[in-house]
Parts: sequence; C-alpha cells; structure tokens
Amino acid sequence: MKILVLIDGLHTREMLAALERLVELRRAHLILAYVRGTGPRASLEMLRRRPGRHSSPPHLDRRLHEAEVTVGDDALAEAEAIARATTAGVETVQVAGDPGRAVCDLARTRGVDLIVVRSGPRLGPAARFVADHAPGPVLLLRSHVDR
Amino acid sequence: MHAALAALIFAITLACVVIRPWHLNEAWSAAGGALLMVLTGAITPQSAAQAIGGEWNLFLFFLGLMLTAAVADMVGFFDWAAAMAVAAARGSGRQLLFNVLMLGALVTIFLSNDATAIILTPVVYSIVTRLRLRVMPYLFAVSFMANAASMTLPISNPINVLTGDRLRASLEVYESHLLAASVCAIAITTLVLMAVFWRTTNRSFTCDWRSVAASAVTDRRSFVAVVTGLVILAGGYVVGSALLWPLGVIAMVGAGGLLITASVLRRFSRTHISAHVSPTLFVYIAGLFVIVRSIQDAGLTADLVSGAMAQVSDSASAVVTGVLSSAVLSNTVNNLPALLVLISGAQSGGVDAALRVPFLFGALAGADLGPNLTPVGALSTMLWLVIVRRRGIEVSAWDFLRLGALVAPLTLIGSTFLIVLSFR
Repeated sequence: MKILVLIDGLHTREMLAALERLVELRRAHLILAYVRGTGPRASLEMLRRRPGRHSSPPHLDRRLHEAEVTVGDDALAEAEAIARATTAGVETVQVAGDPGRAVCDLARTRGVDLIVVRSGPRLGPAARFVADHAPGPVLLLRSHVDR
Repeated sequence: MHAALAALIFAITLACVVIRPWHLNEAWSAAGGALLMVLTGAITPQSAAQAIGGEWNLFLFFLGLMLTAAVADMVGFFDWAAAMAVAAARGSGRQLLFNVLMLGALVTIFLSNDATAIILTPVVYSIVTRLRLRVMPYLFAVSFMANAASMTLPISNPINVLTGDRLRASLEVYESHLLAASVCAIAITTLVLMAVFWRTTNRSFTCDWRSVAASAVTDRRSFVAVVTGLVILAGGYVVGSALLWPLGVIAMVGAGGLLITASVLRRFSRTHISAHVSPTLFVYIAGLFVIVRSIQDAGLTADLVSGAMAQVSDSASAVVTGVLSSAVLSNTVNNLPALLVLISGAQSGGVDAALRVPFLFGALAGADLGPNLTPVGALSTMLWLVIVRRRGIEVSAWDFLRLGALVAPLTLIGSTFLIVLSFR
C-alpha cells in the first residue's frame, strides 16, 4: 500500500503516531512529502515591490531559497527518522508549489492508495483542496489544538 | 488644447505605471510620458531640464540611501539585527513579532522605509522560515511598520525630503508637527498587529541565536566600522535637518565614507552595489518630475488642488484635506506621483499661502501612512492578485485588505488629529 503523507515540519510526530494507530504500516510504503508553499514568497515579492526599481537582489533571493529548502530537508529528515521505526519503505520528496495542488499532483503521478493530511480545528486551505480534488481516498488527521 | 493633451498623456502614463503592460518597468512608462510631453510641446525642453535639475537633492538622497543600504547589507548588518531580535525574543513567537515590529520601526526611521521593505523583509522571512514559524505575520509586521514609521524623520522616507525641500522646514518645525503623529502611527500599528496575530504567533521556537549572529557577521572589524559609520551618518542627518543642509549631500558624503571604509577593509562587493542601486529608479523619478511639471504649467494641478480645497478655511480642514486627498491618490496610483501632484498644485496657487503648510504636512502624512491600506496601490494590488492566481498561487487577498482596512484608517485618524492639534 502506497501512502502519501503531507509533512509540515511542525506536527510530524503526532501525525505519524496517529497514522500508525489507524493503518498497518509495516507493509506500507510511505511517501513523505514536504511542499514549499509559493504563496508567502509571492506575497513577499508584492510587498517589496517598489516602482522604478529592478527585481530583488539575487543574493537575498538565494538566501530565501536556501532557508526554505533547508527547512524542508530538516523536516523530511526528522519525519523519515520517525517513520523508519515503523516501516522500512520510506521515501521523501520536496516540491515547491501550492500545497494542496502539489499533493494531488504527486498522488496522481505516484499512484498512491491513500493521502494523509493534517488539519487544525478548522480546515486549512491545503486540507480543503486535497479533500475536494484528491484522486483517491484521503485520511484527514484533525487536531483540536492548533499549535 | 495643451491642457487636454497634457492631461491625456498624464492619465495614460499613470495607467501604464500601474498596469505595467508587457511587464514594462514603470521607469520606461514615465520616460515615455515625459518624452511625449516634450514632443507635443506641453513642456519645453528647457523647462523639462529645469524640472529634473531642480530636484538634484532628491536624486542624491536616493543614491546615497541605496549605497548606504548596500554597504550595510555587505557587512551583514540586517542579518545581525534580525538575529538580535530573535535573541531578545527568548523562544517566544509573540515576543519575536513585537521585536520585529520595533526593528522595522528603527530601520525605517534611520535608514528609510525602502531599506526596510527591500532588505529587512526578506531577511526576516529567511530567519522566521528557519525557525519554522508561520511567515505571514512577520512579513506583514515589517511591511506595515515600514509605512507607519516612515514619517518620523525627514530621512525615513524619500518623499519626506521632497516635501521638506518645498516647505524649507527645519527639523524642529518638522518634528513639532509630525513626531507625535508618527509615534501614534507606530503605536497603533504595533497594537493592531499584535492583537490580530496574538494567537497565530503563540508558538515557541528554539534557536542558537549566537551562531545565527556569528554567521551574519563574517568580519567583525568591518561590521563595527560600518555600524559606527551608520551611527555617524544618522547623527549627520539629524544635524543637517536641523540646519537645513541639503540631505542629499549628507547622504552622498555618508555613503562615500562607508564605501571607502568597505574598500579599505576589503569588504567591497560590486555585486551588492549593483543589486541595491537601481538606475531605472532615477529614470522613473525624472520622468514623473517632467510629467507633473507639464500638467502644472497647464494649470491642471492648481485646478485639481483648489477643487479639493474649495471648502477649506482653516488649518484643521487644510490638514484633513491634505491627508485624505493624498491617501486616496496614493492608494489609487502610488504615493510619489500623488504627492508630486499635490505639492505642485499647492505651490502653483491651488492653496492659499496661509494654508499651504498645514495642507502639505497633511499630504505628507497621507502619502506615508495611506499605502498601508493597499501596499502597492489598489489597482496594482488587484492586478498582482490576478497574475499570481493565473500562476496557480493561492494568496488570500482578504488577508491584505482586512489588515490594511484596520491599520490604515486608524493610523490616519490618530495622526491627523495630532497634526491638527500641532497647528493650534
């Protein structure tokens, strides 16, 4: 069974613990996905825009990109370490884009059997999009506390 | 005929500046509009040259600001400042939000709102991302504070220099009318953002801020030298403002000193200079000066402003009219052309001499604080939202507008009240 799990770097341990209670993971193949959302970067570019100026300094953009990729790598490394305790089949993937769309696209191309997303007390935009557009079953792990 | 043609070219130019057809830089739209004004005879080449040459102080100030920001970035000043804000937060996301707001205010006050928006914002973004905190509250904090604090000193926003040149106001006069209003704007912005993001920023983080600060400052000697230079330059601005020295000259002398310091200490980087200095900005400003002079010569700016001032009879209503007209225009197009038009109108007879000063101080406040309603002007914001949606990027327009709809009116009302009081 191929399971795609959307990792956000903040609730990894509780997500995987909850998943382990609900699904037999020993024979499952986990695809841990981290999506670098492009919304905040687009907002940053808009707020920095100044008429008449050329585009933002390249070295600052590089640093932004490095920060985002590093956080993604760290989050996936942490998730992989936790997941390997319960299953041998673990794969990590980091992509950029809108989180909801990226997860649905990944699920489609990898032919996953189940998508797992986490949500706080209210459904976030990514969870809502996946619930509406996923190509297969979706497991929504809902927390009543939004830390 | 001249007036109608000048008005048409002005309107088309502004539309191109806002809409940016074919992703055209605003500078080329402004340059094109200026050229059309000259070719159609709306302005003579001599008047156009005079319109540009007469603003040498503002050009030098912009250049000095950009060079200063470039040198500060070269030695890691902004990264270090952000690391200090993180250290002082002691692991609290809420405290970090407050620290970022205060940092944004300080950088804006002494290095201008452009330095805050262009350099500090991505630095804060990077550091907050690494802390695994939600980025948007901190992004908004820096952006909104860049406008809220931009009225504090004449150097805090280049458009203040523009107005200051016209008013020939000493630092004492400037602060007597605007300091309280500016502090009020900073306080309101801080309170509103802390309240709105109180829950969202209720997260803790761990961070080895010492290693973050150490990685920001790779050469301590250069860092100390440049920061010392920045402090001296800040003092120079304050003294210069008090004595009515041209701030552009002070900015260039200061920037020159910093560049020499960086070169001597082998920290000079052409990459940083070319990244931070935008030659197209000067083309944009020069184009706007020519265009506004053209419509001024046609009597349009005086008519526009006198229309707005029709019911104004005292300093209080002059301030209010200045604030409202400037804030509305700044949100429709952009604050620089908006303020240029209002200054031009006020100086060419659209405002009684006795009411000119309160009107212009009000216009300055509107141009500095008004952009918090829609960060790049209403039309540009809408177009930006259309473009990012086409790229499949989901951004909540309501987040911007909701926050702006809270912050901007409150800061404008509070500041206007205090500026009115200052004229009694």
